[in-house]
Amino acid sequence: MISCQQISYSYNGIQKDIKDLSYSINEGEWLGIIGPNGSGKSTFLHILCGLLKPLTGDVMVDGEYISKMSNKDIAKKIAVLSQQNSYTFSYEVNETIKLGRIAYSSSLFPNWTKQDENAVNNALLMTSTHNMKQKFISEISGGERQRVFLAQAFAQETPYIFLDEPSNHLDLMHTIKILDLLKELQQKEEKTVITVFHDLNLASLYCDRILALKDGTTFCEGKTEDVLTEEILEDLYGTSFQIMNNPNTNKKVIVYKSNYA
Amino acid sequence: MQRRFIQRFLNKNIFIIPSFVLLLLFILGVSIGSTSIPFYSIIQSFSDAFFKTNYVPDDIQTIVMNIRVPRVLLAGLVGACLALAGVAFQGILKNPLADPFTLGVSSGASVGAVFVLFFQISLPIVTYFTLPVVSILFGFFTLLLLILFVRKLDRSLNVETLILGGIIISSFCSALLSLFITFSDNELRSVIGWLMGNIGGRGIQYSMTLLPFLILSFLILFGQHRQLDAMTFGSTNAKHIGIDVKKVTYVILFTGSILSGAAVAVSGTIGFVGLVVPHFTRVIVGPLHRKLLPLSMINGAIFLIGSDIFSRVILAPRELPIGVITSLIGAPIFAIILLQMKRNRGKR
Repeated sequence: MISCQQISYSYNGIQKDIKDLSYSINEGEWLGIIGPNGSGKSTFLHILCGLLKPLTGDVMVDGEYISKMSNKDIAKKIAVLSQQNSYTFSYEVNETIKLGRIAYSSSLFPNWTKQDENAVNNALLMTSTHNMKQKFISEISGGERQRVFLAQAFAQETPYIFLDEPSNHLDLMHTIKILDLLKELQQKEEKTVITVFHDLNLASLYCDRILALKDGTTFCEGKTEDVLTEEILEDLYGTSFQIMNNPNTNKKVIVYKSNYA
Repeated sequence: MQRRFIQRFLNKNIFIIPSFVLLLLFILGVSIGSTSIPFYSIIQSFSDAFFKTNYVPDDIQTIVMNIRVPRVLLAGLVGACLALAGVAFQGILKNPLADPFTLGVSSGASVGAVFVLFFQISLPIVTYFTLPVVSILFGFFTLLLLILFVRKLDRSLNVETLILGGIIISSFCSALLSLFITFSDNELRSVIGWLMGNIGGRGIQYSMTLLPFLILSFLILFGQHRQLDAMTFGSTNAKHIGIDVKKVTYVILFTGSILSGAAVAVSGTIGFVGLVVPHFTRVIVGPLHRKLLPLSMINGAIFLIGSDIFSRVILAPRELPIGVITSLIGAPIFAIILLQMKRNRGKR
């Protein structure tokens, strides 16, 4: 379980971007973090995965304080797919994914074990990147590259997977592909998935639970269908919504309203 | 496609061809000069030196063992150091244009070296190694200063900003060097002169000074080869997959400074070796540091021994400073890499 107590954070030391935030993430659930720009969604995610150190409070990962864990230990618990992945030199897809196993190798005498090989092969299969594993990452498309980095994250074999606005640099097809994959993983292997979502309909489709942030603190929290209501969203974003039910899937559909339509 | 085919083939036998070329150039480097020495005389000279035989006349023996071999050996070692330093800086800074020269580390190290020569300093404990040690420290602090400064401009340490910072530092350091030269007497002036990038006329002890630094640095860098791979994908991604980013960054930057500082202390500033060699080595074997590090080391030796031979024959009997050759080759390649990067960024 990942939980945090009374977390606060500030980028400039004056204005608080996260204020006294406490939250516990249930195991095996898919948590979506939503909120308007500047609400601290990404900051909160970065604190949860140990990238940023909070001003006050600490994060607990399976009973251990994250501030006391080494990067290696964190990497065995939490895998992160960032918004945008850059590369300087063009590695083979295969080699890129293999880097996900660094946390499991001893630093002095690294050797490639059978378990490493299995983890990488699994990741290649799950993300269907195995047919491009000999290609260079400069040769493949942006969507495929994102899948390669997802495979790298899968190779870490962590119980927790974080995604920071996964749809930001992907087209719809690739977004759905990746999120479906994660859903499958969540259901089959009981992984915990935490995503920052801009797109409320994606949040509605995939999340079990939603944490809505505003001004760096919890605005509302609960089951997806309880949080995604017209009143809450209007208060959260300051604009009007209309919420409908998709009778086929029983998921909520969020429709944006405009003064002109 | 063709590039991949070449890479596949060479991946299986990566060290065979370069080692052979290195050996060939070594022999060529000893053989070529104002007195040309045939291959069997070289072998005989070695035999005379190590097994107390007496095949060749003393003057040939002197030329081979006291002039040519030390020179070629030094060229090889300096080339290996600079190429490795280039690989280290490029990996950790995610910058294919980074090398001891373009980052200003070499200039900083030369200031340190001239400082030692000018004030005739000898530090306790390191005594004999005072010159390289001070050069290394000056180089490292120059690098830290550069990174601190560039961070203020641009947190992501953008490729071009970093090189721009390197130019500022280089200009400042060369002004300092000129100042030292103005205040020094004639004898010292010649000493400082060979700090401008020269490998001729140095005894075997210069190679022996450099060798421990090269071995130590290679071991450190090779021990971090996977970390270097991870760092080229950016520090955030590296941290997520479990790299101790801060520690690795400092270790690699310091090791790069050891290599550049030690090289500068024995041969002065020889530019662009760390830029050219890793670039071509990457084209041949790909970016994996497990292969890139050892192969760049060999190729660096090849490149500098080759440049040295070239600098001796092109205007014979006159001799060009070796730095002229490396810059003549390096600067255009710098431009080409810059163009390639811009084009790739457009595509992404």
